[in-house]
This record gives sequence, C-alpha cells and structure tokens, in this order.
Amino acid sequence: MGFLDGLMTVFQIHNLVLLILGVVLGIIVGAIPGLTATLAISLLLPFTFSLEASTALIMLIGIYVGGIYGGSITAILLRTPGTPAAAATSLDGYPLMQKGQGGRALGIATSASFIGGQISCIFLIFLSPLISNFAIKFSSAEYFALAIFGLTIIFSVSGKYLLKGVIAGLIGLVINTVGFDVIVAYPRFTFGVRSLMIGFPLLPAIIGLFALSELLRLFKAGVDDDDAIHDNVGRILPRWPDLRQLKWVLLKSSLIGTFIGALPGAGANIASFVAYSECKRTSKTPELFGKGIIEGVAASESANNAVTGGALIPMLTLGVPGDAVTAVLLGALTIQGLQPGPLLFRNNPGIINSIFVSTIVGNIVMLLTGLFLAKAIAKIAIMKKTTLIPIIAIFSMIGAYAAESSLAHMKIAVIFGIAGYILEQMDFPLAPIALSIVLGSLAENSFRAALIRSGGDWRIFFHSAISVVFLAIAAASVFFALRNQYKASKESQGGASL
Amino acid sequence: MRKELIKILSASMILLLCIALAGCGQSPASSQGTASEATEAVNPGGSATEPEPAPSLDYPKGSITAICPWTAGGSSDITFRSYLSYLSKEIGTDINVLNVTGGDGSIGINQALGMPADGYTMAMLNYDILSNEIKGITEDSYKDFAIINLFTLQGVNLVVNADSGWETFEDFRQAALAAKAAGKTLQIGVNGFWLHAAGMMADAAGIKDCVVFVPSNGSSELMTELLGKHCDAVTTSLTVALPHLESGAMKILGTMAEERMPEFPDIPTFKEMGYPNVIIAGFRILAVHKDTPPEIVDFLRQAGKKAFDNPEFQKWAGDAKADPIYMDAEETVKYLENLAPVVKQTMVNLGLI
Repeated sequence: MGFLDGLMTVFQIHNLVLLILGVVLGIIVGAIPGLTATLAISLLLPFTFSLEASTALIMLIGIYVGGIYGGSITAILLRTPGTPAAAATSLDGYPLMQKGQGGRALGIATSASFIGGQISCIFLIFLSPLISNFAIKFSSAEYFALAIFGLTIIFSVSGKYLLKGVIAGLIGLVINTVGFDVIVAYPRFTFGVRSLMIGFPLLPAIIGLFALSELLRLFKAGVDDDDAIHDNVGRILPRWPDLRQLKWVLLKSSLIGTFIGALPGAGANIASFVAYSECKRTSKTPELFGKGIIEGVAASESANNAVTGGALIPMLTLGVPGDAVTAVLLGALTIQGLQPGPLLFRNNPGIINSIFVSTIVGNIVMLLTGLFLAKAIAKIAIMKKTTLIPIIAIFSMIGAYAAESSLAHMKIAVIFGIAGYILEQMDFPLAPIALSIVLGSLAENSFRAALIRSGGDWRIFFHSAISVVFLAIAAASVFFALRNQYKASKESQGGASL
Repeated sequence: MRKELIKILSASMILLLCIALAGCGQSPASSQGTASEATEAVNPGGSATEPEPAPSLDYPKGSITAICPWTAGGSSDITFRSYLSYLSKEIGTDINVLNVTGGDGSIGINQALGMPADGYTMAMLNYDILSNEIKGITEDSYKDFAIINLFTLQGVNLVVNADSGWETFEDFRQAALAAKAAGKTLQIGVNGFWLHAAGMMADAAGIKDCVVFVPSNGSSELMTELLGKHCDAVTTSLTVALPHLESGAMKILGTMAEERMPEFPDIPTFKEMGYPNVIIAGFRILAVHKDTPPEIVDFLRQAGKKAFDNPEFQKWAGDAKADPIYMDAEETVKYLENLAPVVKQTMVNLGLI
C-alpha cells in the first residue's frame, strides 16, 4: 500500500514536472566538465527550502540520478569526463568515439546507466536492512584493504606500459600527500605556500589531466586535419545484440556499484573504476580495453549509476551517507525537519516511499531524455576544432573554478593539464594517476587510523574476513598481471627471434 | 557557416545556464531581499527601543559576500546560510555565501581578511580560528576581526552504544582503567576538534593512557564506527547523533556543555560530575574585518541581534538542533579570551604542539 502512495505522490503533476526538470538539469550540469552531481545538488538546495519535504526530495533525487549519468556524455564525446565518476567511461568511450561509434557508446552508456540505476533501486527497496548491516562492518582496516584492492586496478588500466602505469600511480599517491593532513590537522609539503594548503583537489586535477591535456593534444595535431571523427556520432538507440552481449557485464557491474555505493566513504568514482577493472580482469579479450570496447563503457556506467540506489541505503537506514551526494541529501532531509536513520522508516514512511518511486521514475526519465537529449548535447562535439578547442578550454576552466570560485583551482587544472600532456607524450597512462588521487587518501588515512587503533600492530589488517578477502584478491590480481606481462614479453621476444 | 553559428550559440546558452546556476546557488537570500525591503517600508524598524542607525549611514549599497570556510551542504554551511538569510532581511540586501574551504578553515579566513574592510565581506569563525593560530598554521586570529555576534554554541557529548552496559561516565572510566590493567585500551572515535574534547575529558578523568583516539573522516563516519562497534565511544555533537539517540541505539554518558541540554535534561554535564574544566563547545561566530568603520559594525550588530531573535530563525534552529545561542561582541571576545589558553593546554596535553 505504501508503495502505491509513493506512486501517487510522485505522479502528482507538480512533483512529476519537478522530477523531470531535476533529471534534465542534473544531466546538463553533470555533462559540464567540473560540475558534479554534488555541486548540482548543493547549488539547487536553497531553492528547495520552500518546497514541501517530499517534493524537494523528489527533485533532488532527480538531479542525483541525472547528474551521475550526465558526466558520461562529455566523457565519451570529448574525453572530458563531466564528473569524476565518468573518468572510467572515457577510457573506452572516447576511443569508440574516435572510431566513429560515438552514438553506439552513448546508447550503451545511457542504457547501462538505466539498468544500473534500476538494479540498485531493487536492492534499495528490498535489501536495505541487510546491506546496511554489512556496511557498518567496515572500519579503517577494511577500508584500507578496499583501497588497496582498488589501487591494483592500476595494473590492469596501464595497458602495455605496466611499469610506467605503476610509476604514474605512484605519482598520484605522492601528489595526494600534499596539502592538509586530516589526521593530525597539519599542513604537509606546502613549503609555507598558503595556496598549497588545499593540496591538489580531485576535480581540477581530473579536469586538467583528461580535458586540458586532450586540448593540448588537439592543439598540436593542428586544425587542418579532418573532422571526420567528430562528424560521426550516429545512431544512439542501442541495438539489441549489443545489450544481449553485455547482460552479464551489466548485472555484475550493477551489483558492484550498488555494493560500493552502500559503503560509506566510497562513491561513484571508485565504483566505476572497480567495475571497469573487474570487467577487464574477467574478460576474454582484456587487451581490447582502453582501445574502445563497449564492455568498458557498460561496466563503468552501470556501476556509477548503481551507486545512486546503493548510496541511499545507508543514508536512509542508518543516517550515514554512502557518498558525497547523499551527504548533501542528508543535509536536505535535516533542513526539512526529518531525521534520517532507522526512525525515518517508522515515522515518515510516505517520504521513504516517494524516494523509492522517484528513484525508479527518475531512472526512466533519464533513459528517455538521455536517448533523446544526448544527441542535442552531442552536437557540441560535432564542431570544427577551431570551435571545439576554445569551448573545451572555457568549460574546463569554468568547471575548475566553479566549485569553490577559486583561482587556485584553475591553476591546478592548468598545471595538471600540462603535466598530463607531457606524461602522455612519454607513454605514461593517465588513468592510474587519477585512480590513485581518488583512492590515495582513503588508503593512507585508513591505514594510519587502523594502526593508531591497534597501537602499531600491523596484524589488524588480517583480523577480519573482509579485509583478508580484499587483500588476497589484490595480491592475486597483481600476481596475474605480472605473470601476463612476463608471458607477453617472453612471447614478443620469441616472436622477434623467429 | 550558419550551422556552426547555431552550435556556438547553443554551447554558449549551456555555458550561461551553468554560470547562472553557480550564481544562484550562492545567493540563498536573494529572493527574499526585495520582499523584506517592502515590509521594512510598511513597518519601519521592528522595535522602538533599539536606536536606529544614523541616517547618514550609506550602507549597505550593494550585496555582501559571506565567506564560509567549510564545504557547501555541511552542517556549518547550512546553519550559516540560514542565519544569514534572516540577517539579509534585517539589512535589506543580498548576502551571498562563498565556500572557501581547506586548511581546516584557515584558507577562507585568510581570504576574508584580504578583502577591503568596508563591511561587504563577512566571515564565519569556528573553533579552528583558535587552534590554527596556536598551532602556527596561520597568523590570522579572531583579534583581526570585529565580532558581530555568536549565533550557535554546541556542546560536545560523549556517546556510546546503548548496549555497552555503561550507565554513567564513571562506569566508562572504570572500564577504561580495567582495560588498561588488562593491557588493552578503549577506543574513542574522534574527528576535527572533537579530538580536543576527548583529550580534555580523558585528561581530567585520569584515563589518558587507557584510551586511544581513533581519527575518522567525518562525523557521519563516526556514527558508523560506533554502530559497527569499531569504537567504544565517540565525542560528537547532538546533531549527528540525534537519530540514533532517539532510536535507542546510542546513549549519551555526559555533555561537555556549560549546562544540561534542554533536549536531554537527564544527561549530566561533566561539570556536575566533578570535572569543572571539561567544558568545550563548537561555536559559530559572524565577524567582519577589524578595520571596518565602527558605524557599519554597530549597524550589523543591531541587525544580527534582530535576525537571531526572529522567531522563524529560532524555529528553524530548534528543529535542526543547531543550538542557537546569542552572545554579543563583548561576551564573545571574553569567551574566546578564556577559551584560548584552555585550547592551548589541551593541545599541549595531546602532544599536538
């Protein structure tokens, strides 16, 4: 019965209009590089103060669902992930675009996002209590193991330059140590320069690494060469054989996304990379990843949208947000005078049901607008380089600036852009840098917290089954990556001698 | 060529939209500005007792920027924005909140002090204004500001799981001593300045070497740590713990506020339990640069009091459990002067400086 009530609430005309508006706004903001779903919700939060609680939440959920998806559009078309969560999408999405299969990639991304979102909704509705009980088993040692597991993905996203990938990953980890150390609240490696105190925040770093470095590359390639690449977005509506081929990838990545979303402290950024790597790890053709394979796009996109439902689970059941966006949503609930947590289910079942229904309907709206609107947004990409380059430049710089209205963030983006360009020219893969910036602080802080907890006893990392499992998978994947590399180099040597 | 033009146009439309979005987000009070000016005109001056500012005062002429040194959407940001929206009604102009984060608040504070002292830049001061200066991270001090007023003061609480078996703080203290005797420690989850609160408490109760302070990334993570029994206790504010207290999963053993909390009249303060020095609270203070013309400062102080007394703000703050407490500039400075040496001593005891 409660569910029907939720349905009635969401389908009230003003709620439905606001939900659609939220999804579309979310997609647009998400597609603009640098403007994340978190930012979209933070910016629109003040407007919802005056709305009724359920209406406000319906609209915010719409923005959330749209915002996480929107990032994939520019990730595929411009190699400029609209949100950090879509960074993994660009690894294969952009190569597909270059092959003239941009529309196919967009269609896959859109339907993968939809499927990921809906699968996580099912979990949200039926398994909330179960997952939230599992999530609170995570403490510092388990988070450290999760982060290490995530970092081993470096071995699989590095392509043929394994050593360079590892070096790039280490660069990312070192970059992470600059700035304010949260554990003892003291600046590190700032050399007395105040603007270094903020460290190198993720958003401008990623914009620089992926968007600005691409800009420099386009610049160097010259404006004369053919624009054929960008003229060919093609049909966006996904074809049935593609989807059928992807069904297991979609299911697995959605489960990974839901699970990681439900963990407090790990969000869409991490989920998409973990799912991407897991998909590559188990693929029969891992060598095709990074060169434009639809599995890569599907894994990343279904995982990051599955985070939406997953992250709502601990927020609603425990009052503990699953990622940055739900942390802001938690604030929104509080502003509306609602106390998230176990009591919400008892005291405000109406709100809970409208959240459930609006997540489902929001995903449907996202699918439809995505398939329809992606082409409109895609038009931006189908431009001459002389038009495209300044637009990427403007969007990137505004994206870096907008979050904090900060010039320092713009400078960071520029520095990372130049560094990213140089590194890429030297065959260093950029994905490991982004990955270790995403995971580095989680790894370091949870490592230190765990050792503080145990009084310096390292055995704490082997106390729980969860951390042992993660560490074992991490070790195994490093072993297999090295073995494959060894085999490959032996074969190529053998081939050369023949 | 025309096609290109359309594309450029559509791209710039989206760009404009994004700028508009960014702009709108920073002015939560903008929609209310004109409306309140209108009411002001109908009913000039809320109360007759308060002296009106000199008619010669040519302020505010335009919108004001308020720097929040914490991220958008956090509890400090939300409370600050809410209070400012009522202040904006009093002074009849927009107040745009700018989140300048990093360096435990020191970046935003420094930026605020770098702006002209003309009353068009405000800042929020928190506990870190004391600890950052003592630590030597920054030379900026609360003394560089003209305080408008303090608007919230949240006592810190010691929270444990309801099934911990501890009924009082004394039970907790005995358990800590017993753990020490058994070669173990109790773990207290902390984050940010709540570490200072936990340290102060452990020091006063003589259990400093029986407990470990486990850092975490945020107050919500603290709740998971406690719910998952990864910690024995946490020090935190009421806001975060409230839903778990109401559901019966957690309980408070004591509050480090000056007086008992109105929401939980049965919870004793540490002061009552024989630890008179264990008083620590998170505060939010509105301030402007100290060189701001005194007539503007006076004008803002009067407006700040009226905004605080606005029943709508009181209702909001009550619902959000933001602990609205008012201290005028003089009281606030006295409060900070008394607190600074306590903070310093706590940090020495914790080995932070």
